[in-house]
Amino acid sequence: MKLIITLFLISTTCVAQTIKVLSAKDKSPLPFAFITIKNDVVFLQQITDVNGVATIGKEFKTNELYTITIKSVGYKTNVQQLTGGNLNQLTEACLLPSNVQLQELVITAQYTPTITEQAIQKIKIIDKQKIAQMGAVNLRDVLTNQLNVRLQQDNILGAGISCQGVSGENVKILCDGIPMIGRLNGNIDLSQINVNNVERIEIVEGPLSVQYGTNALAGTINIITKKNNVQKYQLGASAYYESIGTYNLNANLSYSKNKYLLQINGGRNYFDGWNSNDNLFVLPHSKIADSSRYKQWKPRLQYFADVGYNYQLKKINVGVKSAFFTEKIINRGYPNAPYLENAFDDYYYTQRFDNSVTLNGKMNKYWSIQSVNAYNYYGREKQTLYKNLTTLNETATNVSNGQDTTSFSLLMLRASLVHANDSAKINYEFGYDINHESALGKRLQNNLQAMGDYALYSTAEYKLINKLIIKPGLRYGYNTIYNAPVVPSLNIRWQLAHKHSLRGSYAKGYRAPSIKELYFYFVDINHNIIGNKNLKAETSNNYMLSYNYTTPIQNANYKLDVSSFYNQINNLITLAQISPTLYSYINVGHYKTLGVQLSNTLHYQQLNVQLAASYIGRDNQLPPTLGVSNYSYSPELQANASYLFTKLKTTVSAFYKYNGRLPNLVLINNELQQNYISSYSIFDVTLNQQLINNTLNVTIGCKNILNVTNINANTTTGAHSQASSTLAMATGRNYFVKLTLNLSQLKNDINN
Amino acid sequence: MTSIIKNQLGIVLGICFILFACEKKELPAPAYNRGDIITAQIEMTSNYKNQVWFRLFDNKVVSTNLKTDWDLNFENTANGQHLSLNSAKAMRAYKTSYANLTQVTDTTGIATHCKADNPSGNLDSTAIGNWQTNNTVYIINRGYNEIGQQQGYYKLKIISVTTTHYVIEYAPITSTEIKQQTITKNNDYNNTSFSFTSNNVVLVEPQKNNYDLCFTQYTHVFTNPFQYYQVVGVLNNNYKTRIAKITNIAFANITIADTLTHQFYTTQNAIGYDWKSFSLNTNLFTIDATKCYIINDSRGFYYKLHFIDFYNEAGIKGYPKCEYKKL
Repeated sequence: MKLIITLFLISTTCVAQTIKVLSAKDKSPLPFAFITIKNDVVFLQQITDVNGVATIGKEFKTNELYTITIKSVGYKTNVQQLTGGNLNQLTEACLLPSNVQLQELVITAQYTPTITEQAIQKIKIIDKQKIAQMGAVNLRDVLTNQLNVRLQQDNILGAGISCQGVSGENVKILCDGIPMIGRLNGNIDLSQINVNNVERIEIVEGPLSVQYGTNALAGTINIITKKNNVQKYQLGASAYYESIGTYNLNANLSYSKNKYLLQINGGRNYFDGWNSNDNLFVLPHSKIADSSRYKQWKPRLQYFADVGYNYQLKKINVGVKSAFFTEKIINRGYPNAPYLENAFDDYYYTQRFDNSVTLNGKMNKYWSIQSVNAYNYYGREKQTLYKNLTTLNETATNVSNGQDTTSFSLLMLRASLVHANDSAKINYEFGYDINHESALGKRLQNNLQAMGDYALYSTAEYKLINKLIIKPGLRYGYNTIYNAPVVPSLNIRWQLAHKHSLRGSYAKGYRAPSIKELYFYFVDINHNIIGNKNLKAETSNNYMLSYNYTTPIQNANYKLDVSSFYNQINNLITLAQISPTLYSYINVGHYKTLGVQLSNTLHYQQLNVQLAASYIGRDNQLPPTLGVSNYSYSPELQANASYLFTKLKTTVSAFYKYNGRLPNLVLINNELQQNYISSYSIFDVTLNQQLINNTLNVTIGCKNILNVTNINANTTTGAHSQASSTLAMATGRNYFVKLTLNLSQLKNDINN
Repeated sequence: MTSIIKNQLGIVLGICFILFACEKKELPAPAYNRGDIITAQIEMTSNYKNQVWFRLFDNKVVSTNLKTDWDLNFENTANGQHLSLNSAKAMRAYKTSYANLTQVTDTTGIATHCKADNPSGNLDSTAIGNWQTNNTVYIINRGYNEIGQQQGYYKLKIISVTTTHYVIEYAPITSTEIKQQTITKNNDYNNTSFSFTSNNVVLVEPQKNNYDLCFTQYTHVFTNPFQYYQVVGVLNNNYKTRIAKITNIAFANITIADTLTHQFYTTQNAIGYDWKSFSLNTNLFTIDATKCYIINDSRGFYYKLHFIDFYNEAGIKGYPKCEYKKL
């Protein structure tokens, strides 16, 4: 890697050291580049002048290690570790244009921000550039192009996922380390998670239950929001239009001065609904209330706003953040047969209100603290109106299933103390994780239930030999309702040779029984379903092995990654018939998935190419006596490419993801049946153009060129026979345009 | 710098104007032209507490009662000897092996053996069945009221039946206070109803030549897998009333000639419940208006009928609406 970052080390005797930052493209000086030099005792920041020169008024200790970070807009951030001796001789540094990907930092489950290749876990990154190039609006859009992730769409409950062949209730979704709540049927609606203010998304496949507790069983998705502390002020606005009827607007403002940073972000997203017979490029207009009023993909209107404030209190950064989100889904009903004069319209109102206080910083040379304290609220209300379509009169229905409210709240207190010293043989962390969760809903015993979970965890990174690091971890928890499992994990990273590394891990993951599974209560003349207070957690054993090969060449960088995993989930929580009249949740059954993955990444000059494939087997969950294969396998393929025309400042990108046929063997009345979900591919092409000194960015593109809409599925419904059906998967081919305006004033504009 | 900002703000504001698109109001749909058809809406209410007895020839609700008003029906014909249960409440019966009421004190072990009446109304397959051979005590599960509360268990022994009356003995399951009751037959009615609540005969079903249809909950028996399930539908008069089902001819096109080419049934659930379906996705009932019926009433007239709604004007379920016309 160091070959790419061309650092010119020239011996000098000058006391007032200067560093000149140049563009690697044409060796032109880069003004206003931001240089940070730090280690446990030193923290220094400078900005280059119009000639690209910054003055470093300090001499560094020859034998100590320092981290130097050089950032400039439009260029890839350069992070290096140098000894003081080398640093003192540094006079020139070159930055590569930002489309050439270099070392990316990750923080999920790390002691300190760590370069992806050196992290002991295998962590995938989706950065803001990819998000911008994809024209992605929400997390669902981003994950359509992610290997080992499959999407499911429910047009009322929202978009869910499965990861490594395991369903979405076993995937933890974090926003800056804080769990998102509001799981309906186990899934969080991904289309409620906007990515307009996201720096990058870190995806860890496999369990992270030691650090993050329940749900972090098949994977963890950590969304890292932008924290702009480079510019004095920064004002951004963006507008997005999609030909199927998406109209989004948002704006953000950040201001930093001395020790504080204020960030405000807000926006509005509107989607006017979609049917397969809809015409493109049609603005919303009034229509006759006939059968066309029913939309397969429901119209939705979202507003969101968040305010964050950060303050540097000596060595501790204190952050306070509040984020508010509201959504209205409009489900206009199909007119009631036979006269089509009345219809039931459902309105779903969702509110999220997430608040947090974070503390991050150094306590002394080796010890640092990371603390997250959050209170999250999620509420969803359904309202049904009965509409007379001939008079347009609406009547609120107050029957039992009409007005339905579900709400969740989570109080989380979490802190970890980290001992990190690069030269030490062993580093470690201790942490606590306190979660108090409550749920309110109609079909819960007493309509309100709460659960407390108190856990301690610890991990250690131990350098057995210089190139072999092992990281054991353990979590011990107490839960007010069920017996929380003890969760161990073990990660190993072995730097075989300069370009070769090997990772292996064993981890236990778990999913706590949800409040619904514990306290469900639904008894009427035809139903008798009661939750089970004696449920245990679903636990998993996950084994992963991966090999990484990285070879840097002049102006090029090639990465090869081969990995495999095996998941074994026990004590699955299932709704089962306990007696002829009673249904309840019980721990029964096992589920297994396994898979291999091959990934190639090439950065060559202005070209980025990514080619990856995976093959995942999912357990059929059939008795072994049948003598059929335990697993049904399905392939996935991901192929992405982008090219930057440097003079035109134009990037052309293409994103392709193939989701293979998803088969599943089931046993119905002692007969084996083959169910499946058909294969489909999502292919997007986009063009990104920088205008007016990079202050205006225009992205246009075509999403879903292959025009995927509903896909065929053969599913077995209950005890009855096989049924061919279709699943809503995408909204057909559509075109989008996104304008992003970015105005900023650098901190040192004032100084000049 | 400022001119750039102004230009760009201008562009952005222009785009904002388009992008503030929002949900537009709908325009009214034209009303449907119904012609000279009679429409009737039946008030069962959202928890189906009402049993509504309806007469076609003068479009009249003959009577309405609560489903909890009664428990047992006694057959009124001179040779009649059958008892049936109020299946609107999901009542069940279990025949014990005990001869005396005092020997029965609890319901242990009966849950899976309780029987319901056959929804066809066939008196040869009732839950109580042929009580006269090996006459033992029955445990009667009184089922549920309209808000889902269990109504308790009774024990019952049928002492005798003659051409004019029945004699029964009964008590709450744990009670030792045995009550005796004589139930007099009245052949103007199909059945005489009896209530454990009032300990007496109650008037529920209208005279047998005076109604055609009963809108009620009842217990349907699904066979694969076997399951009793409460449904909401229509049971027709057992007395001289016949029903033909037509699904291949549009309601408007059904004529008197169609009465000759379709088979008529006398089972009481010939119309039944499946003229509507419930979607778990939408939580709503949908009417199948293509299911049409020809009703041959006890006076001999033919009517064609189909259902058009299950909701009232306020969008509340339990208000089945049908259209019919004399042929």
